[in-house]
Amino acid sequence: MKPALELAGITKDFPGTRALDGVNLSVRPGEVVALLGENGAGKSTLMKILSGVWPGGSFEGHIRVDGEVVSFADTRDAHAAGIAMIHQELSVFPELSVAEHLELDQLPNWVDWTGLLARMEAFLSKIDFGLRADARVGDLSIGGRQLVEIARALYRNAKILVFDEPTSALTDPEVVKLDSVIEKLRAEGRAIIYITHRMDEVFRLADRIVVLRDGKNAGECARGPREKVEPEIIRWMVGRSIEDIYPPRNKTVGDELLRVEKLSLTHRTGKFRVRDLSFSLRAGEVLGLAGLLGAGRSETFESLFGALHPTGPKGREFSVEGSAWIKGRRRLPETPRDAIDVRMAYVSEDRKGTGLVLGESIRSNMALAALGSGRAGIASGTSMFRFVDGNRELDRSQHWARELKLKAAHLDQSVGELSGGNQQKVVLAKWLLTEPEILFLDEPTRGIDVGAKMEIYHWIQRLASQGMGIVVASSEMPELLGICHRIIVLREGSASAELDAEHATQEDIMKAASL
Amino acid sequence: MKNRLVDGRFVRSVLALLAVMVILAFLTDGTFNSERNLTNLSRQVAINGILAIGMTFVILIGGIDLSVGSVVALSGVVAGVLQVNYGLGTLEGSALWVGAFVTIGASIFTGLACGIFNGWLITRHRIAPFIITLGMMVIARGLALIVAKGAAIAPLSDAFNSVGQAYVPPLYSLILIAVAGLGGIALRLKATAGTRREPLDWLMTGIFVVLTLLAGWAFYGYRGLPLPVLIFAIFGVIGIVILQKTRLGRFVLAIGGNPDAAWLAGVPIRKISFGIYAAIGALAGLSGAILAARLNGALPTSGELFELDAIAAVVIGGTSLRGGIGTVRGSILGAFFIGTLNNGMSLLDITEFYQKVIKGLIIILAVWFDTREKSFTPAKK
Repeated sequence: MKPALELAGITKDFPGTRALDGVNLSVRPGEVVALLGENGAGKSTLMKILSGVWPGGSFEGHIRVDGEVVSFADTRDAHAAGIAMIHQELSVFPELSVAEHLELDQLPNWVDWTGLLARMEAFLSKIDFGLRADARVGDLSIGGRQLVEIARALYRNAKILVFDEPTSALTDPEVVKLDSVIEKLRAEGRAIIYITHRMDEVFRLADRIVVLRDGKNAGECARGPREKVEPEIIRWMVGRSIEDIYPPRNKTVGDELLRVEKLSLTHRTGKFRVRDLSFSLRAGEVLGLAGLLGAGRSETFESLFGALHPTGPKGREFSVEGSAWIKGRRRLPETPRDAIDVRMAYVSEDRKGTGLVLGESIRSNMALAALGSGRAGIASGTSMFRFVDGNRELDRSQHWARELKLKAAHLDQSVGELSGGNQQKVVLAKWLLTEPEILFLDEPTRGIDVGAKMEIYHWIQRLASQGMGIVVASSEMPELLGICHRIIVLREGSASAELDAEHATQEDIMKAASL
Repeated sequence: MKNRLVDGRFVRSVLALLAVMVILAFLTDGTFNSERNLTNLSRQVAINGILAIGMTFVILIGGIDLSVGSVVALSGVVAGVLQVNYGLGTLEGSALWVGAFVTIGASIFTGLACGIFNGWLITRHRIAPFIITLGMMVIARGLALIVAKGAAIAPLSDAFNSVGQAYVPPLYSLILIAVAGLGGIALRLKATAGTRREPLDWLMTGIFVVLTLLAGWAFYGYRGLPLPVLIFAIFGVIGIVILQKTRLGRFVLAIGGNPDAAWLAGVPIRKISFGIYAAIGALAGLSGAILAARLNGALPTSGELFELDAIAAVVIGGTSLRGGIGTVRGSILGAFFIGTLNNGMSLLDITEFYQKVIKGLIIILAVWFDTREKSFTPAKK
């Protein structure tokens, strides 16, 4: 069958670097192609060329749609050629209705409401996404908004749909819904490019897998048995073969560092987010927190770290009850400041939202948490008016930048310019600078490439072997099974099982998580 | 290693200001650059400058304070009432000086109280700073009119007036400026020691020397360093040091850049925000005393639009209205820029109505150039 879309010999230069070097990619109607590659491999640049962000003439090579060579002057030309991008971060207008979103480009100056709603209702019932034409988009969940974007692409009758990490913000039921939508699009004969970091999605959805590395085609294959194909894909992605992604577990487990008893987190509406959770953590141990989205993994961390204290940004939304013993002393931190003082550290799930000050330099970000605690010698005492020791700060941040193999031009570079994996290293360095004994990691490898993931796993074991107690929350079950000693499975805020990670399987976790 | 002290944009802005000053010198046939006019100019800048220093911190944490102009008026009126109605201005001998200090203290306290009220509502009850301080702007103006019964309160004692009118004697001024200048150069050299000094670095040091010499010449040649300018300079140095050197400064930038991340890193957001609103209130109170002293009378209608001049100075100085990015030295420069415009236009006999239009246009232009330039630098990925 003739490809619906063909990118041939695409080469794109930026000052000083060649982002893409003769890349080929084709998709047939009714085919789902998974596009993989580490951050910086050229996926985004390729998609910007495909969607007309980089206009024709700014790169070499050809784009063919249905066999015809096309050239886009801007994104509208790409739309007209039937190409639609479903973005990772959705650009929607919360105050507008679903119907208005669908006709956003073509809304007349004077909107005929009844006519518009009737037309859109008819269209939406045809595609059957469960969307209502008059719903306010701001009231929809992230998954709902994504469906609006897809519906908009279908309304424009897009033949080629590009999904850019579509599940990164979805809950599990929403992922299931998205899967079924993609199946339907496939059956209708639309061509789909699916960009993701998650292997299970690749093997669930893709007909064919294309891997980019360093701006070149690194490999391509049809979907096959996962255990055979996955190592190959990873080898293409990172450029070397990997015997085992997960380093051996730390063997020396010591005394109890943290004991949590009957921890509960209540929203002011009375709804429990965490309920009567008890667990203990020993020095050198890696404890996993599993569970579906919304099961209370992040909330457990937030409660223990004092992140929900009324003087914080979330105000009086939540109340925390329960008790904690840290190295035998009873103390449940009230604020992050308290938590840092008792040597806890918390690498939060949302790097850009709660982990980094994006406009600031690498070194300011690295120093921020240690600065308040008076640790690492960056500023003595705790008085607000103490001077920051710039040399010491530079020295300590350079130390961790080196240790963690941070890739950056210099430490005064803004963290916003770094790739996801390097940003995660900055967050990790920030917390290691506080010299913690208990480390909470929430989705530590989300959205980062395989190479950086392996480095993070390596560091988790290394820190554990130095006697740190580590709690890792993750939605990737193989990850938890690969790095943890024990796994606690959460369901609706309570522990539903405690598993020995060395002998447990993904099925065990799923069963406990979703019963 | 990039040298953090070199800031091309700042150097260019200083050069732009110097260029405007040279042009004005020619247009006014030397009246602008007379010792007397430069001294007056610096005194006119002082109040807006003090407010702009406080406003820099407020804007850096992502807030705004619209009430400072009215608070200036209210605290000035409080000073006037104490001086005139409560007799602190008619005491004899050294008691007169005690009365003057008590009056100034009362002004500062009035401003502080307004700032605490703002800070309390904004941080504790999470109401948008724009709304709270807008309310306070109207409340303080009303209180000023009530306390003053709608009329000017005058005259004030000479002892009190000295905070707005006195000079450090010329010789002492010269010594002070020499010490400050040499100290500044020594600190710069020390801070850049070990790094490669770039041409821009030398240029900045050169500009600093020129400005110091200019200040020394103007103040020595006229009547010395005006006291309000000295107060402004002291707060300027404090502001710069806090923002660049201290833990608090780092926390302020972090709060403005990303409050959620700052909070998780242990930054006491509420305490700091509250403190900053209280501090700018106190600075407005002090400014109110200085203004009343300069005018030898308290006007309940004074301080009109001071908040906007302060915000304009901060923004011209390169501080982002979204918070997280900015400098105190930029705001000081911005205050001088606005002061120079006002002064120059008055010397050129441009009527007040036209002055407003021109000033507004120039503020827009300055910020427009600045943002245009920023958009050419590589953006975030």
